[in-house]
Amino acid sequence: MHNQPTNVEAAQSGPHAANMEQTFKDASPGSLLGESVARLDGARFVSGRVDYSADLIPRDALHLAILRSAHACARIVSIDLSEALAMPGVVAGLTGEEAALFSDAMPPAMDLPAKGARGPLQSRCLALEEATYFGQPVAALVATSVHDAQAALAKIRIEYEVRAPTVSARDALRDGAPIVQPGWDTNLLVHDRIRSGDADAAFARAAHVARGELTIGSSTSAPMETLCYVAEWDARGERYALTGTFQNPHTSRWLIAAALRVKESQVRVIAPRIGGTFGLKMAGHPEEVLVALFSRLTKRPVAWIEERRETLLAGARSQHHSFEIAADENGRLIAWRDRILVDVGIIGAGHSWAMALVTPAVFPTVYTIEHCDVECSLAMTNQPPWQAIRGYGKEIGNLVLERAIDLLAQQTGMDPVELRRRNLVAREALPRLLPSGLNVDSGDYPGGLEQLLTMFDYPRWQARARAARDSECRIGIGVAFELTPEGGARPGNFPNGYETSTVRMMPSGDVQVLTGVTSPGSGSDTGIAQMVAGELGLRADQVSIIEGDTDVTPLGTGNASSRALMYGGTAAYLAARELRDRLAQCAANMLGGTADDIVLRDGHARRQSNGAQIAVAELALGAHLRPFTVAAGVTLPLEVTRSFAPKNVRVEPDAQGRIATYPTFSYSVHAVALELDMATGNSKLLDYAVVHDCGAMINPALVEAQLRGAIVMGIGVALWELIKMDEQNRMITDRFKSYLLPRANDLPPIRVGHRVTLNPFHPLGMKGAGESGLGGALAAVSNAVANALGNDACLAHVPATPARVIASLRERFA
Amino acid sequence: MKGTIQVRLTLNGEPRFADIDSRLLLVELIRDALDAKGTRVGCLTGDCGACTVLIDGEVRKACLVLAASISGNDVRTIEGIEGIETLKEAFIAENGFQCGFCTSGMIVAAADLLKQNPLPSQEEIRRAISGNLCRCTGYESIVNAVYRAAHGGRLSGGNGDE
Amino acid sequence: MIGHRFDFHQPKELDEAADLLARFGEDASVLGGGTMLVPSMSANLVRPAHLIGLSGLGLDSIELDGTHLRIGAMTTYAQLLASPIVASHAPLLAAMAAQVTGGASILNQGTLGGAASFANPSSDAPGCLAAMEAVFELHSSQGKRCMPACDFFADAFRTARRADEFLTGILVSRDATLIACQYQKYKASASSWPIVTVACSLHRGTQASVRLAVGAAGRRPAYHRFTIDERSLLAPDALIEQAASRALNLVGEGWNDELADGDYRRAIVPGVVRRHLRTLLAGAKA
Repeated sequence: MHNQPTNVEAAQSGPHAANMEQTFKDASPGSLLGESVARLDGARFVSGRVDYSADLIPRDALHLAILRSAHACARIVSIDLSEALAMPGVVAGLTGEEAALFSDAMPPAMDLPAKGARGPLQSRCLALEEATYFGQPVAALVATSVHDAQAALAKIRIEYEVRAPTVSARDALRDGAPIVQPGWDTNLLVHDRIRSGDADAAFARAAHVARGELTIGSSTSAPMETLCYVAEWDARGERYALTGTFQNPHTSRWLIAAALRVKESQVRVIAPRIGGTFGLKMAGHPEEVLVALFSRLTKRPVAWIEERRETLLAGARSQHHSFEIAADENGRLIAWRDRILVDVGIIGAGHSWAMALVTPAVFPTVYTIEHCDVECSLAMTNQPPWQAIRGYGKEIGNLVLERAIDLLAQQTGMDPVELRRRNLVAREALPRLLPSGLNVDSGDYPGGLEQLLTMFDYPRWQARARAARDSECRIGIGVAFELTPEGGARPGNFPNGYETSTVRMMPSGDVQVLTGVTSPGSGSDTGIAQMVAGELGLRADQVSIIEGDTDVTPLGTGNASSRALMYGGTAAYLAARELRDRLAQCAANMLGGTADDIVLRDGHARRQSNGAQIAVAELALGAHLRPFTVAAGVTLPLEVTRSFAPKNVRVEPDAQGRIATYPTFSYSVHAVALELDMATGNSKLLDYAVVHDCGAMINPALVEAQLRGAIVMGIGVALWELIKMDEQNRMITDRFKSYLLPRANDLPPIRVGHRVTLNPFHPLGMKGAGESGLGGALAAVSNAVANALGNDACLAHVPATPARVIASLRERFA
Repeated sequence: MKGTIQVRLTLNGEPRFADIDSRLLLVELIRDALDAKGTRVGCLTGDCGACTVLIDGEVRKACLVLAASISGNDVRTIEGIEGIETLKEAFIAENGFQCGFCTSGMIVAAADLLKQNPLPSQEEIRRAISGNLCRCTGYESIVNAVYRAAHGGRLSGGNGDE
Repeated sequence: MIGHRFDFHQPKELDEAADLLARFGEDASVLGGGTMLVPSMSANLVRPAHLIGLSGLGLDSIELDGTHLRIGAMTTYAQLLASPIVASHAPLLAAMAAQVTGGASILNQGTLGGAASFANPSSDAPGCLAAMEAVFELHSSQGKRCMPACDFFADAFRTARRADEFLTGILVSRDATLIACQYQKYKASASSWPIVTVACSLHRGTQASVRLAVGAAGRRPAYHRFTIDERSLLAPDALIEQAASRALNLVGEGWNDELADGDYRRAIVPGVVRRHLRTLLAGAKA
């Protein structure tokens, strides 16, 4: 059942035992905390017997096809559906005007920033009067087959009055620039400034200042499963039931009910197994409302499976940084400045524009930089609304600071690793407040760096790099830290702040956990099962997890910010412990003695003092059939609901007016060696190592799996992943041949080391694992490319595509 | 123009007939007409490999094949490829999946590799699955799983080739 | 998914296929391996009313006669890789096939003739076949005709094939003068299509010559055959420089697509040409 020993278990007994704080000190005797328990339902996954949303479409469902705006900025003059409606198989169609008779715009999933601008969201299921981004749904129809629906799309006659789109943040903020979003009076969503100390003075007295510019292109999550929604309107019960790729079922329920003008209780949202989320499937997609609306109009189930070229429309991250970093004569970093200009596109119902505000919140990450001054401006343009993406902005903050440190190292001749070492926050200095108000809970950055250097032969790679300096293929080395705030709890986000789980034992002894968090496919359900099972003396596979059904599961966020185990699992753990106490009392009732003398393990309740035991299943049955004896003195039913809210969250503004919305802080440190072909600009990864600390690990194998996936995503963003638009801001990278994801033969083996510094604010010491690794990989690989280029070119773009590399070399020599 | 065509094939060892819309891709025939949902659609451009199947013993991407071009072929999907028990166990033991959406295609590609090359190196495995995209795992656990199924032991963690 | 209705034809004889094409003309598309056409249909970018499948015509054989190696148009990359004839008599082609990414499914489904007919600048086949001075055999109801690569590859995504014709075979001359060859495609990552390709070969008969084709950089393959004297073989720098600038001239304005623009492709052509000619000629010094 359990996997072979992982790095973690080996490390606990080996030379790195000092890296691992003793976790789970209060664990129950049967506890499964810290075990790499095998995934529940593994046999189903490897046999193709897992049902995703597209596998659950009713046979009689109609299929939706969406006409999307061919222009980034246009007035919709007219839409004529008559020819399309006459096509074979077509049952109904809607224009934006028609849809507006039956539905409203979705409200925001999170309040717009308090000190920001306001205006109507572009969150109708079909655009009304104006198309504001390429790909915006403007008309839709349903037919008996997806083929008939798509054939009929070609017959929709639409007339646009095309206008010049606003394609950059700079253009959007120019004097006299046209207002991008109808009904607003500005293109500046919000401007934020985060300061600590006196950066101006520090820069003035600094011995060294390094400056840089970095333009980050647009990229997208691209999970392997696209969006899919199926809606059924129950005319008798007057309820909608939606099944689909809902990353936040309760949020979607709320938004859909509002848009469809029904009560929240008239909507049920079900999220089956999902094929990856990474933020893409968060609530607020117009198609969520479209399928429901059509199901009501046609009185038939309506299904929509997104096609990949539609999925690739959803990007984020496009921004520009102008930064400077200052150090004293001893190489101590003293100041950090960053001016950030972000292109957040159009504002819809989703909250993903908030990622741009999270980016500056991570500074100065793991370094002791006392004086900071960071400004960011979020500008609206005719770009599709940002879709949340793994890292949620944190990865970019880490990237920019790590680039700056390397630039400073290059400028001063200091070794990049030594420069970092000299400026890492000491373990004893944590917890500490960041300028943004976030309170970093714990961590051992210097220890992590030293551990990494035992896994990555830095001197040998440096020697190889020196030897290859004049050859056609240079070697570049990059090192980077990543500080990853997790567990986000931002006021005004729906929902937020806590998660709830119910643990229930049935008469047969079967255990169900109903939880408000969902798994994106990470196996967090396995983690929850083992957290619960261990307290009840059961195996993980004896616990079934029920997620993602708003009629059944407690209100929750679903999947976001690595909260599934940290919050939802902890809530289940606390509930299970209480249930354990009740079962212990039942056992004491049966075996004599007191509940303290009872231990649950291996499916049995055992009285320690005399060895008498009874099967847990027997206790369960007895409690239901003979409650007054078996369950005397015990609160029934055998069902406990607990919520868990994180500590270390502060929503009252401090003296600087800052709040603290991320309570936990994982971190990682990465080293990579790559070969850069100077003739073509192509990069090839040669070696990669990482040390990661997310506090207590419930299931080390699952943690490592998350980390590896995140690292590969970071590599992709650093080198290859770029959404491109033409001059009219129409997306042209619409398939995996042009939006380049990493493949197995692009990657070297990656060595992973673990470290555990327990989160003092969490009962189990957890920090969350789910996004860690992306920012560090992005930064380390970017640093490696720049390192290979040396003084011959200035790397100012992410991704460092071959074209950018060659262009930057030419600029230098020009 | 024919609206409906009849397609004849052997699916996972069983003869099947289906009257289908003439526009269907093979992956739609398999999933919708023949109700074998383990083969998946991820891109429709032949890039992601979620639709990987065997046609007459050869690895193919079912989104690149028209159902109309199928005539008596022997099609095998994840639900019916023989001799993959060791491979499946290895995927479970090595956590060779997370969300699982790419897993069917990965296993079909891996099974084909092991048939042609029973003792592949790490590089050969990476090459063999280079037509299959995964967004969750970073591939290494998949490579480890295939290696384990082939060689019976673990690929040492991140230490390169044998 | 495919929205338009089409008729699928699976002719069993060449003339049957030719008649179908003659009959349906512009309304018909030829279906080879399907790796390009089917996705275009799924995206509703092309809507041929008739599809003429070539897989029933036995066009996937590889034959050697006294003068030529003949590769059927429907030969897959897997078949090329498995063929000892190709390995011995068309090593450049073998090298190209060995670099095809995408695993067994692409090797099994992609056909050499399909790739050549599609004439995507950002692909392997045009440059490689140009370097081999391949001859293309086309069949129609009016008979058969052959033409060399320099005529066949007319422009980006356009060959000299008429709408009523289909490619039946690709012929490569047997060449006992071949000494060495190099094929390399350049792209950012495994997912990408080729951005620039270099195919070159060294021949020594009564005269020595180098054939060089730069593919994917321009709208058509940039091919030239250089005759060289023995002195240049020993001190090839001048020759290499000449070849690099000639190749760049032949590339012309450079090809633009989503992954790379013409400026980048042109920028890297001289460097990669130098690299591969150096290696090619260094091996020949011995």
